[in-house]
Amino acid sequence: MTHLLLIEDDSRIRSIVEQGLQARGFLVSPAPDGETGLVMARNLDVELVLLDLILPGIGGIEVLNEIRTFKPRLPVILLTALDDTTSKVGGLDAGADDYMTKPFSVEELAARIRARIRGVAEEGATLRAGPLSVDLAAHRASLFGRDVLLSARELTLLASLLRHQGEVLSRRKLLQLVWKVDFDPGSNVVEVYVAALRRKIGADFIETVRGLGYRFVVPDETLAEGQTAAR
Amino acid sequence: MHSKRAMPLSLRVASIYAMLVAATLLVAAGLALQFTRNQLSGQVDSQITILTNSFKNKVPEAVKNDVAGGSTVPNALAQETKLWLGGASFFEGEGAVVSIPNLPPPNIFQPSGAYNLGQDLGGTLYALLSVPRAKWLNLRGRTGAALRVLRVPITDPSGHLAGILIVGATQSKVVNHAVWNLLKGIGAASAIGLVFATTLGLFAVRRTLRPLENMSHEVESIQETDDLSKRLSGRGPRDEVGRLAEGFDRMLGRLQEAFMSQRRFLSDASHELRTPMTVVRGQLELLAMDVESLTGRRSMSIAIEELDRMGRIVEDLLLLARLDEGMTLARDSVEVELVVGEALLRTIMDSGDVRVQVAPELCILGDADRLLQVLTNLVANAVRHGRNAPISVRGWPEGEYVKIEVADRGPGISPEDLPHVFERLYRGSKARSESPGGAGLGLAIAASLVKAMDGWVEVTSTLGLGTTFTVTLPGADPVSSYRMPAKERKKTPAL
Repeated sequence: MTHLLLIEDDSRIRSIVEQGLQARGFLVSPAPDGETGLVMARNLDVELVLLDLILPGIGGIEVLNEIRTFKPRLPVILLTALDDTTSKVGGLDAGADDYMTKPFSVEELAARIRARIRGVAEEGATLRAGPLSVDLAAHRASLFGRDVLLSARELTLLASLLRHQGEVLSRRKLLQLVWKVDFDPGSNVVEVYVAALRRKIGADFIETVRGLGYRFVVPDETLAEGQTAAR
Repeated sequence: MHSKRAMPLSLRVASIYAMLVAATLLVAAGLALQFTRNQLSGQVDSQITILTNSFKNKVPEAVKNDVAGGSTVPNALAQETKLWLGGASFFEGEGAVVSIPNLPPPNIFQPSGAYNLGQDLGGTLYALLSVPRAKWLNLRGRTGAALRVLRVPITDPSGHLAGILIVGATQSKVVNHAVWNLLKGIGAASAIGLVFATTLGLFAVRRTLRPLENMSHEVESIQETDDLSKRLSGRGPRDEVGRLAEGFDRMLGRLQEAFMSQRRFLSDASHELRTPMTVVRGQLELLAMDVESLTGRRSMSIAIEELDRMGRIVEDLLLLARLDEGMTLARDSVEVELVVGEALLRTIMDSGDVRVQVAPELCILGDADRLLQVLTNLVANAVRHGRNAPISVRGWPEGEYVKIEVADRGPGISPEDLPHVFERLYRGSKARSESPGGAGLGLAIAASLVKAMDGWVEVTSTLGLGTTFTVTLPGADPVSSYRMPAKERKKTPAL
């Protein structure tokens, strides 16, 4: 059973998250404030921390920074009522892996926890293909060692394509992987994003397979160059 | 507000000061000149008087002797005159004439060195001779020089007029020369004094006004940064400027407090509303896991749906409140085409026909998430009112701006409703019955968000033909596209 640490000062939220997650098969250890939470994070063998951003005493960001000093790889999901862009970015910059804005659905929270834990298991630090590398944690992509500026969505699309190198991914599959949409609304968003991505990393990496979808390949020439250079 | 930048206060005060100094110097110089002129005139007069007396005092004796010796009067007087003119010392511009009636002309004695008054006076001299009393006269000679003249009648002991003595000096030459010299001195001294006083004055005024200037810079910086926690640091003496600074600081403090409490209220309200909603949602979800019956599940899902809607409305209201208090949004280069794609994905689902005309790499300067919110709201509005007719989304650059247009072919908005569509919770008379959903905040939020990104939204509508919303936002250069130069491939190792 997955063991989670929940640091949340509001007893009502604490109890509903605890109940909801327990009902979905998680083991939850609750902590009412940052001090207790830190002690528990240090001593318990938890796989993930749910952290409220606004806490009495030590604040959420400080708790997060402290956790990072002794367990740098422990995933942390922020629970927050602050949905200003600034606080989101601030939390993610401080090393949170994800955040949920209140009022959130416990069901969705459970899904995010599963995804995060799976992510930790399968996700290497960086995805690479030829001269291209994508660092999801740092939200960075680079080509020939030079940073390529991508939006969050473009980065996710590139990462999905990279994970399935050489496979043909249908529009439907990409919508599911990147946009979390389970049906095809007939929008051209996939095409638009693929075109934008091609403009930024070069057209040769993403092949169009007529009638089927897209395939990520490392162009021979580029690969050859890359290998020559690497040798 | 900024009509024309006025001359700095310090310069203005200094120039007024300089003008006052100049005026004072002018008056002083005038007075000095007048005084000097009077003084010099007095000197000339007394000189003339002394000369006159030196002659006059001797004459009666000579004339008496003449009378006693039985000789003719004019001889003794003429003799005395000759003696006196030969012995007296004259300066340049001075001169004396003695006229003796019974002697034939020329009866004007003119020793060397003496000024030839007769020549200078010309006809005037004879006119003078006929006037019988001692008198000071101001005359103008033939060359135009001003003459100060004392005319004294000489009488014999019996009281008859024996002759006339005229002693004069050119006034202009002496006095004017002195005055001119004085004027030069005063002028030079005044100029130096004026420059000195002005420089000193400017310096002093600058120094005095410096706290005010510093204050004005600080106020400007507070204005620019919107940082109300700043205070005016210039802790000078408690003079007018110091008190002004203190007053301003107190005002800033109160302003900051007001803003803080507003912000605190918002964040508290947001927290207080979200927590129960989270709890209710969690409880409902938990409950839904145990509910078996179909109707029960339906009720559950409707309750959760409504709760979500409430959550969105709360979110919208809080967003509006934050925008009102000047929420800062990101300023990145955002590709419009991508955001349009996302917005359509979220709103159209499989319901509609959309025509999109946005060039790739058309970029605005703004916040990607917020632009998505704006376009989502506009497209959702178009879908809601579009009667399933095709919707069109177009984007194009226009000067430094980018225009994004969302048009539907719905029933249109009546002219009386049109000016109000961006008002909060406004619902047109017709729309009320027709449109379910939307709390009436979507367009208000779109307008506020666009405004926060330094743009604006316009709407045009024709009844029966449809409505067009046009968003105008500052344009931006596209994020750099991929170029692979040949040397790049050789130079950099790939892995």
